[in-house]
Amino acid sequence: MYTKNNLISSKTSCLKTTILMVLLAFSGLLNAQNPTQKISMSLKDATIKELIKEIETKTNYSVVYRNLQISEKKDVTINVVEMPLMDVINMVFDARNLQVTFNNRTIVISEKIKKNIKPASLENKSRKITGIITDENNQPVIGAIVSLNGTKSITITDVDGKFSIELTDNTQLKISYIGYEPQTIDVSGKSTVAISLRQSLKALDEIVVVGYGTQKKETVTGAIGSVGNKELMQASVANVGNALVGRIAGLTAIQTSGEPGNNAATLRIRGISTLNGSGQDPLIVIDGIQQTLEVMNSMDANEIDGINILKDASATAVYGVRGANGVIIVTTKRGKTGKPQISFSSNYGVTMVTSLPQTTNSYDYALFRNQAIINDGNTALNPFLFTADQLWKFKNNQDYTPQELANMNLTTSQIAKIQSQGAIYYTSHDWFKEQYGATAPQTQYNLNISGGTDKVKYFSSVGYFSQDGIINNASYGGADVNSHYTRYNFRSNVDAYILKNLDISINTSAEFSNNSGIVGSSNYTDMGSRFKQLNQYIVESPPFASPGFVDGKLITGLLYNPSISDLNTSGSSPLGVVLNTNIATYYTSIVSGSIKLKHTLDYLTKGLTVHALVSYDDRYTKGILSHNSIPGYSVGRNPSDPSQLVFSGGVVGANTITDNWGNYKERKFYVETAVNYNRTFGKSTVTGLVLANAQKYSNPWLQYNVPQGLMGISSRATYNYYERYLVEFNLGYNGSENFPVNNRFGLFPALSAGWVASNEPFFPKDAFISWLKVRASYGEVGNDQIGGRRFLYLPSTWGSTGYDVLAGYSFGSSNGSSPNAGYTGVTETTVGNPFVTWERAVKQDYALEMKLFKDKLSLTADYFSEKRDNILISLGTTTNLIGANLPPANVGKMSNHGFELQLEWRDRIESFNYWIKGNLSFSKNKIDYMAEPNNVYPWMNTTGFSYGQYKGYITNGFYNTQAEVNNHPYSTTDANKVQLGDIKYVDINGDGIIDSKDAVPIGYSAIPQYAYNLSLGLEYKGFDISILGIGTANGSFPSTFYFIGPFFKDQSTAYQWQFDGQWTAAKAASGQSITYPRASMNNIGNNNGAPSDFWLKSTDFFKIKNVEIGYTFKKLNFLSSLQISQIRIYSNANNLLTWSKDMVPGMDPEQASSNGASGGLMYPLTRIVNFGVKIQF
Amino acid sequence: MKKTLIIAFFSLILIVCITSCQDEFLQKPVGSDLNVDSIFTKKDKAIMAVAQAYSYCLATGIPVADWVGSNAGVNHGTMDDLCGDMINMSNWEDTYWIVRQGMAANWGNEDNYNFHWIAIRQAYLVMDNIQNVTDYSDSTKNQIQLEMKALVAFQYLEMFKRYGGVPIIKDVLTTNDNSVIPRATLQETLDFIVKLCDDASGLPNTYPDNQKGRLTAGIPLAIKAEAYLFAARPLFNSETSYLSLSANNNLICFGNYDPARWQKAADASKAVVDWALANSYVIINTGSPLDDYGNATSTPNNPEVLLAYNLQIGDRGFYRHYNLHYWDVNTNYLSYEMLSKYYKADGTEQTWPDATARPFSEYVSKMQAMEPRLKASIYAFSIDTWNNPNDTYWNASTIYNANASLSSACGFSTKFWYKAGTRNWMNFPIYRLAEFYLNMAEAFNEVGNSAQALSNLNVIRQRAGLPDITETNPDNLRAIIQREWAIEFFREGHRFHDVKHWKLPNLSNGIIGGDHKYFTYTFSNTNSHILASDYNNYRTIVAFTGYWNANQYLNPFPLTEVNKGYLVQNPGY
Repeated sequence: MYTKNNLISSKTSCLKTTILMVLLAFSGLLNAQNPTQKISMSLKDATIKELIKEIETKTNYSVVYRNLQISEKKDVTINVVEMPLMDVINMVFDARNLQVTFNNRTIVISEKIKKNIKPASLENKSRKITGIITDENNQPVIGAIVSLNGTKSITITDVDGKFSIELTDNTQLKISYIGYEPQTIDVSGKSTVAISLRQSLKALDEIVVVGYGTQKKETVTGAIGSVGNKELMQASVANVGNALVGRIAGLTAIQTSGEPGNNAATLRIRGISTLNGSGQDPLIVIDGIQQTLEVMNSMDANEIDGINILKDASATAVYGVRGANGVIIVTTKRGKTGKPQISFSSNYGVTMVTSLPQTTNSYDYALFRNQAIINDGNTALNPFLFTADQLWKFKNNQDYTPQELANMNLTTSQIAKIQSQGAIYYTSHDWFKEQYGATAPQTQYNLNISGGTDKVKYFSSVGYFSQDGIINNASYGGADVNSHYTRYNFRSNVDAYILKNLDISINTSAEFSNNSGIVGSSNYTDMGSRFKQLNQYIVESPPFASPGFVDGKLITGLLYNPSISDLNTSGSSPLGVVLNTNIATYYTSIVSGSIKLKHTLDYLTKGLTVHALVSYDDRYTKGILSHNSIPGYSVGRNPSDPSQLVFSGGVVGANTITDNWGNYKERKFYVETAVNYNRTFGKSTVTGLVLANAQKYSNPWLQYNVPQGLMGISSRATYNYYERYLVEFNLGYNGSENFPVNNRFGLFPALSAGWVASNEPFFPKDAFISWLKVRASYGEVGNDQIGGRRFLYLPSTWGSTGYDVLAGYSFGSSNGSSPNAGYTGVTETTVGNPFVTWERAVKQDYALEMKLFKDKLSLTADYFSEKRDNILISLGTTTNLIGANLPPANVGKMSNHGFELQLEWRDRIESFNYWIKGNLSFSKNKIDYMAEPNNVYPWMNTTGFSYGQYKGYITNGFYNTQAEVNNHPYSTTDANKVQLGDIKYVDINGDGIIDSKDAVPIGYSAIPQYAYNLSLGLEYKGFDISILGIGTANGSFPSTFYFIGPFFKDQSTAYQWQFDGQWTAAKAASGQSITYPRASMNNIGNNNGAPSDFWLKSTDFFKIKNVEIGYTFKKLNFLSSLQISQIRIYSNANNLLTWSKDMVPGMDPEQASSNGASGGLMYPLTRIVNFGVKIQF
Repeated sequence: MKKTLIIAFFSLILIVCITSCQDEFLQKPVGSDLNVDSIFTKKDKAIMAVAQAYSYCLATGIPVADWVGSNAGVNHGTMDDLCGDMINMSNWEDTYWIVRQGMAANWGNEDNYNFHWIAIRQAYLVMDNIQNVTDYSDSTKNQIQLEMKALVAFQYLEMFKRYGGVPIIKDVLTTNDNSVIPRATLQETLDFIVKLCDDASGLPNTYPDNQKGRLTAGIPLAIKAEAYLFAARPLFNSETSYLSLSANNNLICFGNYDPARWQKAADASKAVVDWALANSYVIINTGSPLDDYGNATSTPNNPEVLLAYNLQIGDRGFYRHYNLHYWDVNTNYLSYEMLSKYYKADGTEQTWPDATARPFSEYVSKMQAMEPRLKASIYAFSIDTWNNPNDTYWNASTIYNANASLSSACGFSTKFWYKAGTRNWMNFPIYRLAEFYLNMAEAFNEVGNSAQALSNLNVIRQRAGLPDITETNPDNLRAIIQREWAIEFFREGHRFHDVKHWKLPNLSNGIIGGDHKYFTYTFSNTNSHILASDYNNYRTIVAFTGYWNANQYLNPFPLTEVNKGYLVQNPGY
């Protein structure tokens, strides 16, 4: 147990060490010397000053310039590998008419003294040629290098793209410019030339963000996927997580709801590797800090520079005990040197439902239900049979048959009026459509500014996003029950270089959101309750439940209808239910800040840096529960004059508001210190990292009110030789408070290696393979998200039974006037497991990366396999005789393997650029051990099959003849009641009984094994189009309950596909297609309702996920007078079209089957059509 | 060298940081939570564990589970649905499916096998640890241990009648124990119950007013009497088991018929009655049958109830399945079969209509002619409840408005709410003195002592205001006694096990299996469902066809437990 003193002393010593680290980072301004060397560098659109800084960082030279105005133009783009420093400098400065002198350890730059560079012997043959160099859009190319092929004669184009150069007898001009294909032209006989450069297909050297650092993409040996800002922005969805869908191989997502503010997808990297259901989420890291999916999803995509997904052990080992499920790294934008760049974008979109379940109209419903009652032969339900008159009324939308009207002593005009009014009692409604049929606006604005000098760089962004729900009539009577989501984002990233050898980076961000929507029954706020309850009213209401709205009035009751009890309706509708539901509004603010100090220790040894990072996150949510009373009316036909509609009711009750309802807060403190080393020795480059971090998260609801802590050391060493041979070693050593003191820290090593064959000298140049790399990794990572309660290692605990139907007891006597005060009960709540530890994952990854046909085609193929053990599960083999809530134990084992294939083709036809990309990923897991008792047949076990593998009977059509019925195997499903039109089950074990022994694995699991996407982009003179198509295969979606049987509680809804597809004797006889068993009032509980392959739908689909069309205006005169450099207008659409062979209408194949969705009880997914404009100043 | 030193220095700092901050970042709970030692220190905490043992152990058969599947009792619906007394027409409830499809090893059951062991563990934990409470006297500690023994005995009795022989657990099992304990034989299980009861015989005869709900010395006697009665009944007291379990028949059958078992049952019940009468318990009989029966079944802590389930908690209480003002009750429709068991007030048979419609006025007059126990237990359509006279909360209008979907049924149950007014809690009677009179009647009849059988039976008849029975033919008398059981203990949770242990010949036809009927009505156009004039006529219709198969005599063990290899499954599952 702690004493107060202990606490303080440990805190201060911790603080001291941190301060010491920071002070050390400031101290020391030594200098050291180093000889001239080869240098690698990569700069794009940088200024001369940035180049100089880069040189100063990478070498020991100091650069001085004399009487010189250095250009601020961002025209330096350079990409060299192992080039002598002198050549690099000459390449840049020579072309700018600057002269460079090396003087001891100083480089002096001065105006070039004009010299005749022509060799004297060739002087006579020289002549001058001038020219202009443009790009594909006929824009001048500034700073292109023009050289006489094979000589040192060189010049550079000016701001108008023009150049002039002295020719010798050599007439081969070579033009090169970074990012463009070099050209060599023959200029013999010409004095002027116009040259158009074409953009290079070779992507610029990409920097990949890895755990606690960055690496050059070429030298990465781990399995890492990336997505850039452009793709994220195209999705036009509220959540960053949802925008990732279909963009990265190996990332799968299923969405649980389409409701604004609650529509985040569940993300999985390389499928599922653990049977521990609460520990499957990947780790989210934003700018180096571990965050939750919710924080990522509340970011503005405009702030994000890119997202990297770390998939294998090599990439995730540094995260140690958190790395097993993969890592999603979000990197925000930072400023670049240059004048301020201001960008403003505005988007307006319309959201609508993608598809809705189709229910029958009242007439079909009545026919269907009559058939069901007749089929069942259940005379108790005869009162529910619709009469011929009622059928006529439904069909004709009338309350009275002509015969009834004739008998009512009405005038002709009254009769005409009644007939023209249509039905009040015998109406027909499509409640899903009436509920969710609205279109809702979505707006997004973002303004950001970035820029910098050599002292400070900055990026600042403010964003606004709002999205409304699609519920119809949601504001009737001031109810405002639609979901609303509004978010304000602010971010500022500042990097300062004001002290020598010290970089300071300060990130601040804030997200403020208002999120409102209905709550579920008993004011529950979980997703399983909220819209499930609402949709339950829809599916449990027949289409004639209520007239809905009459004369703009919400009808909640019916008057004067002698037939009410026959129709068994009260007149209340789902519309009234939702409008009367309580609303929860949450105001959330998430504020984060971090400071990073990086100190360069080149004076100790070159390439050595240390850094310290401190970050703090705070979140506060305030909730308000409100109820806006609305008027509800009863309507009926006046008994003395049925042509008159009579309304009653409409009384509005008091509105209620509960403040501070469901408030929530959390905060997180994170600290990190690290030593980093990066140096090239000749042909070898060595990097090293040792990083220590600690994190503390707290919210008032944590068990035992103890903050969650995590700490550890991460380290990495890489070595590459000439970028041919790559080796990397990663090591995580970290621990979590969930584990016993002696067993808290684990060691997680990973080793990876790569060979870039195409960098070998013997590798044929200009062959059709331009890039070839193989890489492999092997390592171990952990998972401490073991779910359930914390501190499992503690001894058995007792607790109150709380609010429970069996809570406590009352002993006392009573005279019956009042219950006696009872005793609250206490019972043993959990038994401890002193050996609890983390899950262990051993991962392997083997990959091939290739570029072919002059980099036009690139290919990456990964194979991975993973074995996980120590999975924390409940022991299924201990008997329940113990009668205790036994702790789970680390005994589960699971394996997972699969592959990812990525192909990309990028080419151009004249000024028409296009690319096609495709990804295919596959993963398949298997439960190897889960302490499950052995079942009679192996197929009854969970062990040996995939996680979430569905099981059920195999079906074999329907019982079409009485002979088949008479010979059916004994069916335990409904006490052996089987009749014509029922589903036939296969007796797998052949014992003549259909029972649980015949339930075998059917279909797959909810997470599809295959996911693929195909995207296509076109660019032509400012126009651009991109299309993303995604699809999956080998996934299953179970239909349950309302999707199996209509008429639940005798009056629930029926779906059109049930009615259309139902078995009838006539259809069976004529061999027509039958897609639903016989009509029955109880297909949920009778023979037909058992889980079977009949109800398990394949989720295989292909979807046009995203389409974007845009046009960019550049260099327009009237724009430049407004200081506008570029305007782009575009339109994009998300979830545009879906082809799915098996899913019933209303069910999106990307939707999770959880939270009632498998019965049709989920807020439907939405489509977004968005228009936007982006202006850059 | 200098560089190396500095690098070493940084590394040192990292390591120092890790070690020094560990306590700061990786905290553990500071021992403020409850554990077994902190509960069993003072009596004010220990009593909470005792209360929980009562709550768990006595819950079997009472619908406290109500959607909480891991709890005790029937999961939504009451046991009266299972034996044809009440009809459940709501297919989202477990009892709906059990009557239509039977119990099965891989899904819903009438009880929760696993929960019996949770309850028993709680009792054993109290028994083991109560010694550590510092402010209880030794005699109180001893008394609590005896209470726990009796509660364990009660749990074993509940399993005995449902499963036959079950594993015998004598103490708290720890995780390190070998938890694989096979079923004991029927005889061993019975012996274990009897031994626990005998051991618990030192309980007090009475408690202070605020502890009246605790187990008295009479309860172990009652448990033993009931155990002997079930041991004597035909299902167990037989040469052959109801279905063969081959070498394991002794788990479900004694293997012989022994009339001495009936004698033991009679004697044990007599011991209960003797003890009860000596300790101020009585059969309430003031000559006003409706009030007497109403009081005996409804009034909290009345002198006829030896033990009741006293869980009196908030709005999720089990009482909602019994109180007509709550929605949960509209799953319980009075069946035609149950209605037909009641006598008229003069002890003769009532004739009820068949499928041919009769005027509703006849329903009203026939209902009015019924015996007082029906009137103390039933709401008949359009009639203000008899057992809460002149109480607007219980008149036909309020009841219909509280549950507007009440429709087809012979009536609804108002039992347990005699003159309850708006009280919304009840004590469910577990042992009511009348039970032991009927035990004796049943047992004495089987050993050929019809005089004793009749005298005990007629105690109950007389209180009900019905004429004495004089039948002496054992077979005829047995049927009369069984009918008396059905009426007297309507909705008290006995009949589902009684009919099976009696091995009644028509179990498959009208008791559990076969057609179950109730009344349906037609209405006049004014249609308020409240006044007699709203109804036109009534007739019987089949509500559902019940399922019966011989395997249903005893409950199945859950498949998940059987798969662990330590349990012999009951036959036919």
